[in-house]
Order: sequence, then structure tokens, then C-alpha cells
Amino acid sequence: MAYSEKVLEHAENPRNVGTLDKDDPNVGTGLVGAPACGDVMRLQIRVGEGGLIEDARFKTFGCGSAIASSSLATEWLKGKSLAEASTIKNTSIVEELNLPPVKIHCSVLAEDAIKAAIADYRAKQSVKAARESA
Amino acid sequence: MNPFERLGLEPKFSIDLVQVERVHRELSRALHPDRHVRGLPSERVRALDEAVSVNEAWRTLRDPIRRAEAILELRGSGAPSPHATPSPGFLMAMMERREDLEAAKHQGITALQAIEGAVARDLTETLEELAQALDSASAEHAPARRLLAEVRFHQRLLDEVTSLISD
Repeated sequence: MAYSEKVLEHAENPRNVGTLDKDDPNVGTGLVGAPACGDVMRLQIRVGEGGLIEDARFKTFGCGSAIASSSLATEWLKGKSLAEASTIKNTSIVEELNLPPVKIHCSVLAEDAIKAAIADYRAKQSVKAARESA
Repeated sequence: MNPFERLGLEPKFSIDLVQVERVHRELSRALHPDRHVRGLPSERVRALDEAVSVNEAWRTLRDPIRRAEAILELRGSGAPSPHATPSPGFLMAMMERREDLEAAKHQGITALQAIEGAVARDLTETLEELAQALDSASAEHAPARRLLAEVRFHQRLLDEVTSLISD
């Protein structure tokens, strides 16, 4: 499989690899996997006071395209609002990384991970809000 | 003709592979081109086509993942999509296993073998659960689809660990 230069660049120098505290109420964690290739991806966001994503981290076990897709996703997420973040589409990742058709599912996984992280953050916030109003 | 019918079997997950292999061998022998050299061209072509589909059926049935897919397909429930995501608990455990594997890569062969053993046990257990889910009278397909996805994860991980050990 010939990877594009951008995929190789991200796979060799992945940005924002790491872990945020999943118990922090301001952190949203998205955990997704693709049974067909055995890939697992964890993507986390920390949302600051102003509602902007101030940090994003990932850990991906999978092929170079899966690593590159999540690495790129974390770069794009930083500084965005949740509304902006939820508009990130897998097709933009495909375009940016020149992913071949057989690797499109890697970008889908990254989009799913972003959505899961946002959903997790929102769920935590609504629990927090319910507790505060109780 | 589905692969079970092709080899004269009921569509069940729990099958006796030794016996199925014997059936496959007997059919292949009967269909072998050498036995049909005197036949009409149309008969020779038919025997060859059948030999190909008997081989394909055997390849499908001997692989547990493909066998499970074949059963789900027969029941019209389709195989899990490549993006079907198992439970968060399972993914968490898979993530931890992968992290253990990363660490074991630097610890050497004994650590890798310990992980190989653990993953092989998980795979066996999940295959047993899958057999129960597929062969029970229940018409519910969701548990079998979820278990099949888990089997795929375990199998991929096991293949990776095994190839790391053999390197």
C-alpha cells in the first residue's frame, strides 16, 4: 500500500498523541473501533470556559491512515466550538490526506470518534447541570 | 447454492470440521477433471464449475468468521458493517490490550507470549458464545452480530501478536 506523503508525515510524526483525564467533566472521550481491520481509536477533547475546544488528544491502534486521520482530526479540533467541530466530515479528511478508496473507512472512524467525543462531553455537561439545579 | 447445502450440511455454526473436510475431499475427487476426460465438453465444464464451488464452500465453512457471516447472510440479517462498533466496555478492554501489547513489545518474547495466550483464550470464549448465539432457537440476530464483531477484533489482534512473536 503506497501511502500519500501527508499520511506518512502524520503517521511518522503524529500530533497530539496522549490521554486527557476521562473523569474530568470538561473532557469528552470518544472510543470507536472497526471490526474488519481491528483498529481502535480513542479521541478526547477538553472544552474551555468559552465553549471552545482547548485541547484534543488521541491514541489509535491501526494502520498509518487511521493514525493520520485521527492525528489530523485533533489538529482541526483545537480552537473550534462544538458546533464547528461537529461539522467536520470524513470527506474533508479524505481530501486533505489523499486517502485511497480502500482507506476511506479510516476517515469515517475519525469522524465517528469526533462525534462520540462531543456526545460524551454533552452527556457529562447535562449530568452536571442536572446535579447543580437539583 | 449456499456453502452448507453445497457440502450437504445443515446451516449451523457448530460443525464437525474433520467430517466436513472428508466430505469436501470425496466431492473434490468425484469432480476432478481427470475423471471427466471422456465426458462431453458441457459435462466437463459443469464438473469444473462444481469443483470450484465445492472448494469455495469448504474455504468458507472452515473459517469461523466466514462461516458465521454465511449463516447471518442466509437468515437475511446481513453481516455486520465494517464500521459496526461493539460496546464501549469491549472497546475499552481492547484499547487496554493494545496498550499492554505496546509495552510487551519492549519487554520481550515472554511478555508477548502471555498476551498471545490471553487473546487466544478471549477468542475461544467469544467463539463459544457466538456458537450459542447462532445455534440457539432465538430469532434474535443482534447478539450474534455483536459477538462476530468481537471475534474479528480478537482474531486481528491474535494475528498481530503471533506475527510479532515469529519475527
